Amino acid sequence: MSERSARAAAEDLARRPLCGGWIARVIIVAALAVAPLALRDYGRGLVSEVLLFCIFAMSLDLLVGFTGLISFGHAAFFGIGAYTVAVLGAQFGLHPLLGALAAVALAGLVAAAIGFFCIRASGVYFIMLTLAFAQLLYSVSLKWRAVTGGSDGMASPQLGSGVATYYLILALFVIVYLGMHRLLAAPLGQVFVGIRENESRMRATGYATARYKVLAFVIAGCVGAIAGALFALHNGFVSPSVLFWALSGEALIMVILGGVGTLVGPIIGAAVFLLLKHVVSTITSHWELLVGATFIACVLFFKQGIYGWVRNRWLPEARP
Amino acid sequence: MGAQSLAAGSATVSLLRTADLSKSFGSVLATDHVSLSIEAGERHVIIGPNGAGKTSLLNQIGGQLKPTSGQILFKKRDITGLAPERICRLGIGRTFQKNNLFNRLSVLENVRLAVLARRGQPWNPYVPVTRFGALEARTVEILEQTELADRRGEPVRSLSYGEQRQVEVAIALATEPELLLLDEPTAGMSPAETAHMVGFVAQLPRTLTILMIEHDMQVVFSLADRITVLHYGRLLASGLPAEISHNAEVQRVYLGSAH
Repeated sequence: MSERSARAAAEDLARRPLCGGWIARVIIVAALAVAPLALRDYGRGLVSEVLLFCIFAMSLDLLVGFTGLISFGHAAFFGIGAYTVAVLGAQFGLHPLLGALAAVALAGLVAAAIGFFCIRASGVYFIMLTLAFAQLLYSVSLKWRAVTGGSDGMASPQLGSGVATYYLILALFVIVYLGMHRLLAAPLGQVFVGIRENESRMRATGYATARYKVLAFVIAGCVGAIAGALFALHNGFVSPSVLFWALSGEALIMVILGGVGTLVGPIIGAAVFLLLKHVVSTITSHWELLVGATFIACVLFFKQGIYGWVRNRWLPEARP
Repeated sequence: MGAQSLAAGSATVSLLRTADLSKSFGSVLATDHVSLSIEAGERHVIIGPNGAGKTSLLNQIGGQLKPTSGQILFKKRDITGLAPERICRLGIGRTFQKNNLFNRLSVLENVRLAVLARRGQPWNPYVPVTRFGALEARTVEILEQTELADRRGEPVRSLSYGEQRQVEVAIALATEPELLLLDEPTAGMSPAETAHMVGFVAQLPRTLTILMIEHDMQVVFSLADRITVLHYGRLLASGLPAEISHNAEVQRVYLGSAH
């Protein structure tokens, strides 16, 4: 086969199965774009929350599912995002959008520092280190009362209206999804996947994997901070729970529930998790029981999560 | 053939040299003061019974293991204890004794990762990897050279064991090494696959130096210019195939009646 036709065939293969998927994606985004017309405040707020947690879950999946780094401290970046917006707004009256930019920059720096230390360990030690760093930030938020309000939390500046916040979140959701999609198809994404598949071979092949892992940490941290900043905007209030390990755990559950190592999976996982949380909790206060049962079912019977199961059953051609 | 080329090149510079290289695991000396030199262009085969420290030696040259003492010089440069990625970038490529691949990725993706490391833009976060024409072309070239082109779309884990061994070699070659380390390239292969692999290694250009570990004596004697025998981590003998096969001590500990 000639070079050109081989390349064309490869590109074809990469594109074809996605066409149907892309139509579905456009329809979903269009539906989300008109949703505020049909939804009351509560419904719109719920969708806002789902979308911003989709961003958060996607950012975690870049580490867990694509680079093979199981972080149990991703709340650190969500919390940095949320607190930066709130603190800069409260202390300096900074506009929340500028606060969000500062949040992303700060999260990138912190991610580089945390990543630098964490990637020196592997396996359980890596997981514990990420957890420890996140808990460190949690205790800072708790003790640094003058700035954070401690366990009382603090108010965050917001945009003029809930609708504006909704569209900002939707826009960033689309941008993050497309950006991650692009990244994963690009050489850098391939390198991340190579590290997930076989790090020692990557090193023997000439990759300084440590640097790539720190970079994955930085990208995931920045995107996670976007989610956290949006949460501050959406919620108007920030408390230490945004840095607590439970949030890191919830994000992991979202990723695993939906499907590790895909982009659609974390989105489905975040949506299912939050709908269970908000809808079932109106019926029974034991909603976590249902989440737990669903999670166990996923881990035992659908190892690739909800999306992996759907894909294997109905979309054998689809790729992440 | 090998003997002649070596005799003609009496002034050759050693491409790789180990000096008093030792590696201990607790009280066990896996590598016991091994001093070895590999000349540019030669096919050098390491033999020795199981546990002789062959793979440990290769792992130290490749950077997977840090030596306890001694030195490794590659092109006169001290590479002792460098990280594997540095060693690879300096021009030493390797395969592994047990298939060590990107199992869920396709054959093409496996080889492309190696080409990307050498010639591509691995840091590029935005342009789809399929849009780099030269990268794709070079990958296909290596797949054709290693006769894997028609398997390119298959996930590596669905290949036969022998084909996976070929992918091992394809990845190593894609890093464009000057020195290729092959750790039992024919291990676990059928006789037909073995013959095929031997033919493949034999036709590699002499600009590529090969240091390989091999158990199959037929393979050893059909490829080797020089042979080194390891025994309990020690270098027992090193020399031309004829010298090795007539060496009394080697016969006693290893070759025995096999040759």
